[in-house]
Amino acid sequence: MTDTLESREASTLPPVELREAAGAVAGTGRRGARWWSGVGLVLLIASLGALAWTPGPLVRPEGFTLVTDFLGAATTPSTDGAFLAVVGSAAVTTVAYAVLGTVVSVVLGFVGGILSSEVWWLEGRHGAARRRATAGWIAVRGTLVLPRAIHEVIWGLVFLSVLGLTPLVAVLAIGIPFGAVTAKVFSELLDESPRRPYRAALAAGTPRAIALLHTLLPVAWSDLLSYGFYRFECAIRSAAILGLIGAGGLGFQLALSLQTLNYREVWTVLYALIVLSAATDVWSSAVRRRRASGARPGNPVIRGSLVAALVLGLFSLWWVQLDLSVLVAADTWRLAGQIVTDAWPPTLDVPVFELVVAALITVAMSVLAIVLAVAGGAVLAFPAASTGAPTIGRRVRVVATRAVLIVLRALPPPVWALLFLFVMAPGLLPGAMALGVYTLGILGRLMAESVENLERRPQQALQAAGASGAAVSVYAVVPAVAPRFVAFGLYRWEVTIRETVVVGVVGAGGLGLLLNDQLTSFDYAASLTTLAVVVVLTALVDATSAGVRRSVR
Amino acid sequence: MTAVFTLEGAGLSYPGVTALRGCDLEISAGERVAVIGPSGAGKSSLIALLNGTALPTDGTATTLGCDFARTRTRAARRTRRQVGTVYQQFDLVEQLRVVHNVNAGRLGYWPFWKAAYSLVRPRGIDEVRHALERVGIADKLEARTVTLSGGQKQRVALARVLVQQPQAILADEPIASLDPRLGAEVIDLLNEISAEAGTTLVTSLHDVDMALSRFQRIVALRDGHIVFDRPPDAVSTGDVEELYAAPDSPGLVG
Repeated sequence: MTDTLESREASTLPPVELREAAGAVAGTGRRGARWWSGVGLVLLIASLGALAWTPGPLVRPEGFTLVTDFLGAATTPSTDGAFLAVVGSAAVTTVAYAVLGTVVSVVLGFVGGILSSEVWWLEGRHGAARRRATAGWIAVRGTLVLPRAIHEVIWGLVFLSVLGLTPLVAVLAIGIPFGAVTAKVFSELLDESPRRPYRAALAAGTPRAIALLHTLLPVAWSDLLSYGFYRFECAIRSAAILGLIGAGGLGFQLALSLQTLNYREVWTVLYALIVLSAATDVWSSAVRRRRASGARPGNPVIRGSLVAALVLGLFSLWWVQLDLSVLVAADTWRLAGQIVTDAWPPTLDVPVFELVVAALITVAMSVLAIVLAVAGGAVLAFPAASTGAPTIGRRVRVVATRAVLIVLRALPPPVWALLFLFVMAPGLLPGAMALGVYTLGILGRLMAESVENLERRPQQALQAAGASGAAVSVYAVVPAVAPRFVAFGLYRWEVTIRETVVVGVVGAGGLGLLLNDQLTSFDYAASLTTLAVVVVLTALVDATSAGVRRSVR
Repeated sequence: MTAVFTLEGAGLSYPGVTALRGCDLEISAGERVAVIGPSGAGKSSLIALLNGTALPTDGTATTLGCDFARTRTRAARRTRRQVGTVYQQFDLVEQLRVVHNVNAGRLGYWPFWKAAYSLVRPRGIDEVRHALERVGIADKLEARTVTLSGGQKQRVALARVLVQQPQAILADEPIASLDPRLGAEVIDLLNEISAEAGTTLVTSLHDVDMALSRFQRIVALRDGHIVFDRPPDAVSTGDVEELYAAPDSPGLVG
């Protein structure tokens, strides 16, 4: 029963990158939808209200000259030879972090995915053995929830305190949370693969691991690889963000140039980030498109990409000179042990009011950001979608809109936050704007793709009946795309609540700011309390989002 | 004659559904048995009890002396290796080449490293080729399974059972997805294979004529229990009509 539901789900969403969003559940009907719209509206109004609550003026007019200076420098990025060399090397470092982080996450995801799949634990088991296996299954799934709920940057901050400044910080900070997400996605891929051959192999007395290897992996592995490429795309952005907290690479250069207010250098770094991000976008979607259209592993693009990935992996290992010895060093373990004893038990002796306010700001930030992103994405999705006859005007429109979307998502949220902080008082607004603008870049592309993939026949039928363009879009296009846009928005809301922490770190307020303050003052017990609040909030948002998705389906 | 399969008062129920109840059945080595009955009579459930993919909720089921409900995994696996099953949907991995799907029959005998390596360089090609020859599709060794027709896929499934060399073959509606001519060929093939090696064969079928003309023993199921169990020449037209009659009218239900 769930099989059919899940496969239907899979066919209505773009392939693997939205796996995280696709929790298949039965609909609760219209009443649920109305109830959730009401809740959403109340949340939105409350979040707007929270804006007014921020102390002091929202906008700092004096900052506008800074913005003009900053934007003015866009046309004259620093082309100083020595600086270009530094940026080039930083870019390679960022790529290397992303590559190694992705490799770690795919390996963790592979093992974790098998160990958290239903087929591994439950299929073909009965009675007491099944009850024992269920306990094991739930335990593994439970362990994977925590690393997923905690953002890369928090992992980065924690590893930074334990391991010090080593490339391993970035690799692990990307690899662990991404690995947990990949594990979830891979376990779903395994559980959704046709199960009968696996069942038949078990019935013929095949040991579980071998049966899985021969019947489920041949079906699921190519989706895992394709998902790995999508993860790499995300890892590039994460690697840049991790640079901002000191892990090196482009983000680190950016932070240095920003601190010295050298805008021409800032632009050089930003351009490098945009090129890098656009290139990985193009590469990863080329691979995934071929996968989705059913290309075999022998396809030249896929084979070439796999070889390139292997070469990149080896090169990255050499480039960052990954030193694994810190992992076994006595110092590391002593430090880790000390942090754990400092942090445990988490203190309840925190200013509760401050914590509650920070939590509310965080939620409001995520709500405003996602509303901005969905609204903007819905507007830009149509000009960005290449549908209809390819006239020159249309092409220009499509390319221009897509370029805007690429720039929006190439700059990581903390960078946007720093820019908005020029003109806005620290707090809710710059954080929401930063996350909103960045998420708009991501949602715009997803939405444009879903507009492109729309079934054309209903529109053609209306046109043939003499309907105007406006009538066609109201009757055929909007009803078809609206549920998907809502689903994308909800999925991204879950991601955004995690990312509020990231903009918080650079001073945009909320739990991220609080956490950063506590971590930098080595108050680990209070940090753990804040972290627990973050995890609870994340879980609440996930549950709400799942509830809404159930009701709109 | 030693018993290969024994059911004693075996029942199988899921929450809200009773698939089988009070089934007594003994099948000896070398017998070739057809299980017939209308849709939903419990034929697939019976096959599932025999190969241990389901455990009886009442009574006992014993396969080659092994009661799956009371046996540790390792020993149960040894018994499973002795029972080959063919299904209506073939249960092949479509993405793999035919040779791997045939080899799947003896994965239970291979250590992990050998099973893994075989996906790169197929092991035991000679036996695979021999099995494919036996089922008449020797030329498909390297073909991708997804490219085969339904009849060819069922032959691959038969070849898989051949390399497994089991003591008993179970077939759950093996020809329901095939057209009549192909179906007859597959049933004949199953019977030949079993006769050659003295293998016990239990097939569920919805084609009564096929069952009566090609098997030594007919077990009829209806509403989850065994209605009759006798040689085909002792099965009358009346028996068959009664077996497949529309459900009893409400007045007659006790």
